[in-house]
Amino acid sequence: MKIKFERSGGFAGITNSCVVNSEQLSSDEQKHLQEFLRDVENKKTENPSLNSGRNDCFQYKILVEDGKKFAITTDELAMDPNLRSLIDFLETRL
Amino acid sequence: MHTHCFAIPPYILEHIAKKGTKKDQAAALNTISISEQTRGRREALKHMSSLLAVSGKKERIIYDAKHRRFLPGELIMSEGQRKAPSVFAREAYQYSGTTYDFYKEIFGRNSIDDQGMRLDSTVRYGYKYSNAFWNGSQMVYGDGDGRIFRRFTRAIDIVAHELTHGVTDFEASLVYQDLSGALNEHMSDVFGSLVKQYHKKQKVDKADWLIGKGMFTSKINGDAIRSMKAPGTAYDDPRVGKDPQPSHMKDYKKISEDNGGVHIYSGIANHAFYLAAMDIGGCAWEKIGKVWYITLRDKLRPTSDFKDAAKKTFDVAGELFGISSTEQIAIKRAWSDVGVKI
Ligand SMILES: [Zn+2]
Repeated sequence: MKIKFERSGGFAGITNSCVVNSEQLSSDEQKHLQEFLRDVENKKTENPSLNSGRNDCFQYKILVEDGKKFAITTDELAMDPNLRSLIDFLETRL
Repeated sequence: MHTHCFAIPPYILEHIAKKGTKKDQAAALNTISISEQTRGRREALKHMSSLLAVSGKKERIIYDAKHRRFLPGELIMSEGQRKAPSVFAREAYQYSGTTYDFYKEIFGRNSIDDQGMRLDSTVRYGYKYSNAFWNGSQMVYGDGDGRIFRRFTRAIDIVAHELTHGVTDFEASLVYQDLSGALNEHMSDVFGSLVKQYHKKQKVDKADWLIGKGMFTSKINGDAIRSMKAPGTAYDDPRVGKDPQPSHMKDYKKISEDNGGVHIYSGIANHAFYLAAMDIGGCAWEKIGKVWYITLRDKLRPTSDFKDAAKKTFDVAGELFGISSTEQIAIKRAWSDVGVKI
């Protein structure tokens, strides 16, 4: 499956993006991705409260195309561990 | 399309409020109205001051995250300590101290909340982390990746910028999205720049009006992260792209990245401030700085945009310096030059 990743904001406000195929992920990363997508599907991941007082944090947008599409927008202080490790990997590809 | 959001940005809330299911709409409207009601945390927290670390005088604490992402990290320096354990600690300590002194001496403000709130900073956050932020209660700085960015404590205007996000939280509480978010960013750049000019004892014509000067490594073609004098010219390099800041409202359009371009469209208001400051002359913190401070403290609302800011700064200049004073006229002309008519 194809993952489009975009990081924007931060103090500098520079936007970077990349496209990654899930086949490029290591087996660990693929596992994180699967767990993450399953959580999204089962709505197990909590919605944190509205972003406030998080100035200059990075904003992330992930678009996963897997038959159906998933779009996620989040910031760096509002994410669960599965998503964090996925983003850590995606950031190395920017 | 299946959409799931972890943090729900306000523009998505608005979208849900317009197009979601009945239940989603009710929840979104409720969230929007809660954040609209809260003009500033100062009011929300007025009765909760015991929860904040308040000292009544300058008090700074520095933590070290040791390249991890846990806040606040390990305590490594506190107020009055002579020797800093690292360059990161020394810069965060000194520059937050200068910013505190600036707000106290120039505007009579006692710290972020005007009640002596302790200034907490964490240095060495994350691994090769190229950013600094305000998390709602403290300042956080990364070391930079060393390839594109240097350490984020090295620029006094960045430290003052982050601390000012705290001030804005307690005052106008500008919503961090689209134009109110760009106004929030603008305020942080203005006071960041003023603290730097105050620190260097510079008049407007001697100031460089750059934000984050020297933050790029020598491998990058860029003087600074932003320019208030000439937005869009701070850097231009294949590895980071070109400075995207416009200096005129004609270049504004709604975008989704960067919370609606808060670090991009701040350039428009930044340039208006620069033009007015140059027109008025002298030390920028004495006159126009005061106009902007009173506007932020007393006049702006969470959803204020550039037009509101232009009108309010014009009104405040009238109150401080007189109707049709040179200061008031300079401010009106500057906003008009960037496409914001009063
Ligand atoms: Zn900022």
